[in-house]
Amino acid sequence: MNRSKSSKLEQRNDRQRQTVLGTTLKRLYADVAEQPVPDGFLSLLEQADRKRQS
Amino acid sequence: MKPGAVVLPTVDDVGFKAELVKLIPHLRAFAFSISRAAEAEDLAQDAMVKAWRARASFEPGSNFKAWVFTILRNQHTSLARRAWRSQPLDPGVAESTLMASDDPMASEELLDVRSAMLLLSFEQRQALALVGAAGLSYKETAEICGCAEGTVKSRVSRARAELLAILDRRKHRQRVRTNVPAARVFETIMAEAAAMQNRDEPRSSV
Repeated sequence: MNRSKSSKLEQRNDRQRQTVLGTTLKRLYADVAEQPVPDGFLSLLEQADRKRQS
Repeated sequence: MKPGAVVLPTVDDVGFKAELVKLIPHLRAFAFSISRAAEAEDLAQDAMVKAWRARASFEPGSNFKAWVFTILRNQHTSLARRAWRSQPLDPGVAESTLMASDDPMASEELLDVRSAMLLLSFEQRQALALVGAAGLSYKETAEICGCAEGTVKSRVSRARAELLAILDRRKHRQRVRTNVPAARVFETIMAEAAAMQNRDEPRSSV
């Protein structure tokens, strides 16, 4: 394989890996975003809200 | 506020709270993309409470998500700076502890990228999480990180390159350690297939 072909291949691999990385990052985020909100959050917010009212 | 003062909930506060609750899943997702699991929940909770307390300073009509994300990002930055000062990061130690603290339900590939993310500088990590994971624009990210759009662009591209390099090094170490020839065989086959495909393409005029 000559040099230009091998660098072409590398470039293509690079692009492919960037695409895979992009998809993985989005999934990483979506996995958490789709989880139900833990109870602790809502009770903390209620607590902060009560402090304001009392 | 004066002690004993009675403050009735205003319609604005009720609306603000509803919007904030809607954003909690995103606060958690952002926090989990930039910090280890053990710290992410606290980070997201702190940001939520801070946002609630600072609600008077939110300008109605402006980007609420960016406003709340800025609070989380600032909190993360000050924690990261403090941690950096008190304990310089040893990549080897960091990597093993980060790997161990991850969600056991996630796939190996996700864990790999997650733990590699945590080895980036916190600024690169924040930029990549906002653009690459949360899908925000460079403009919004620049606003959240308090820097120029160009700075965000270069942080994101350096973060991507660095992330791939970390994954490469890890894969290489694994290959050396386990000495599994299967991976190399697969790569050779793929390289040969690509080379054959190249041969079929019209010759470039170089």
